Amino acid sequence: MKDATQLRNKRGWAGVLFLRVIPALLVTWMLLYTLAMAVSVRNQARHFRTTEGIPGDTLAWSQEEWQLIRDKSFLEARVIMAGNDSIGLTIDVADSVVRLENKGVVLREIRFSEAEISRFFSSFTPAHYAAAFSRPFTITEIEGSIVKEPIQVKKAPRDSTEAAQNITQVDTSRVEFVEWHLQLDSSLVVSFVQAERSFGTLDWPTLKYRIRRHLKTLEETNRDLLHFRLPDYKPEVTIFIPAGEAKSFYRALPPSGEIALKF
Amino acid sequence: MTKQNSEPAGSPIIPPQGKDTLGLVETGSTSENGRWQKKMKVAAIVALYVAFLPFLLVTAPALSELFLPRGSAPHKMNAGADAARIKRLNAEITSLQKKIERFTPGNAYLVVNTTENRFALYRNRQLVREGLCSTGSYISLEGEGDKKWVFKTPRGEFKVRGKITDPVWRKPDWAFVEEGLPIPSATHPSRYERGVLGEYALALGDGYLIHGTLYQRFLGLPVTHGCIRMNDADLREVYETLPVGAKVFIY
Repeated sequence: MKDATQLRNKRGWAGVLFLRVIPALLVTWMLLYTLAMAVSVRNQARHFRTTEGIPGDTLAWSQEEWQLIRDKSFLEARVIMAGNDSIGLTIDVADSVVRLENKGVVLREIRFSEAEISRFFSSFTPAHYAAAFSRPFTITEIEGSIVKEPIQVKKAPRDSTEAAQNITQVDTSRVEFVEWHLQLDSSLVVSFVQAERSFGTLDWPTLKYRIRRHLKTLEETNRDLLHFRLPDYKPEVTIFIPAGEAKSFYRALPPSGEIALKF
Repeated sequence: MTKQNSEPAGSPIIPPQGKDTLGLVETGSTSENGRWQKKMKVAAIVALYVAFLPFLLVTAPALSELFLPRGSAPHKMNAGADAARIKRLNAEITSLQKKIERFTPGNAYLVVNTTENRFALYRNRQLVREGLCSTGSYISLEGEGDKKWVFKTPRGEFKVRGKITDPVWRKPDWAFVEEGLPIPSATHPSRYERGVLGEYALALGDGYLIHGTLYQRFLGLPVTHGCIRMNDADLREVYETLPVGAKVFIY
């Protein structure tokens, strides 16, 4: 009789915990998180709007002038980038073109038909857009579902007989799903995902990459919130390009390369 | 007068009739409606647990963006002032475009994609030939002691430093290590092989060459020790088109 009573009490407490207390905490956390994120988004937008020496919103602009300012900023960023020795990427979201460039020479140009763009990028005023996008951004982090350098370690054979037995074959049957992202200074994120959905189904390395990426984001934002700090908001643009090109671009970009952006 | 406690310590909590201890689950003679409400409540709580992380990752940032201040709307300007600014902007854009165009070599240059093992040959800023090639295998060969060779094609901008016809391959140490053979002296005759690099070779520096191959079936695959291999016809055109000093971009 006593055991049965204890069991019922335990069940009661577990029920209260899982059906009342934890849901209440989760809802509170979701509200706090959204509120903090909203403040963070506004701060980020303000950061882009408070560049010194910008006349700000006092000037009015026609649509044509707005377009020309975008074109000019992009060209200025590309000219600065051309002064750098390393390979860089220029992304023209407005015209759906991605180019791999080295010292101003276009090595590869790809047109894309699909992109997902954060609403953040449409919140700029022309003056602040010009200030932020007329110079290239620097890559601070680059990570993907495929390895950057597919190095295979091979021990030297002891003699010619062993060498004849150990001929390395290139595996042409392996199809990898290609997805990668790069984080830029100013907390902007650009992601590339292969456009062919059926080519190379989602594999374990891709899932691992996604889990790792999302866990990192969750860890950082929740830690900030627990310490009463505003979480980092990272506006993102996702571009869908053919798998081969996505792989080539990922492997060609150096870890601290530069990117010119146009929206 | 003291209030009489009908429940001795340790006795089970008896919920009001028709409810459990949480008030969530109806007990006893539950109506159809009560059962439906119970199911809805449990489903909502399960949905909350399931949606919590996706909410933080996707929904919260998306909702937050709704609070963004909007960019300035296009505005009708005084026609004269607007036209002057547009004229100035157009002039600046033309100047920048010319600057960008000047970066691209006017003469011939080669672009090599080491991931897809493809090349593109340009002359007068026009693509004149493209095709398959072979580049570094990314094999790291570990020999005795600390000896180690990584067979990858370097990336970046290079120049054609020399053009060779009927090149002879001077086998480096790794070629012997890879075959399990003892390394001969630097001038030993076994170091020299004829006819394995094709009819032509273009030197890029540091021992890296663009050359032909006996193994044409491997073109398009990463199988070399760092050099760039092409088929005979492509190699001939590249050799004839690129002068010494021409740029080779490898990515």
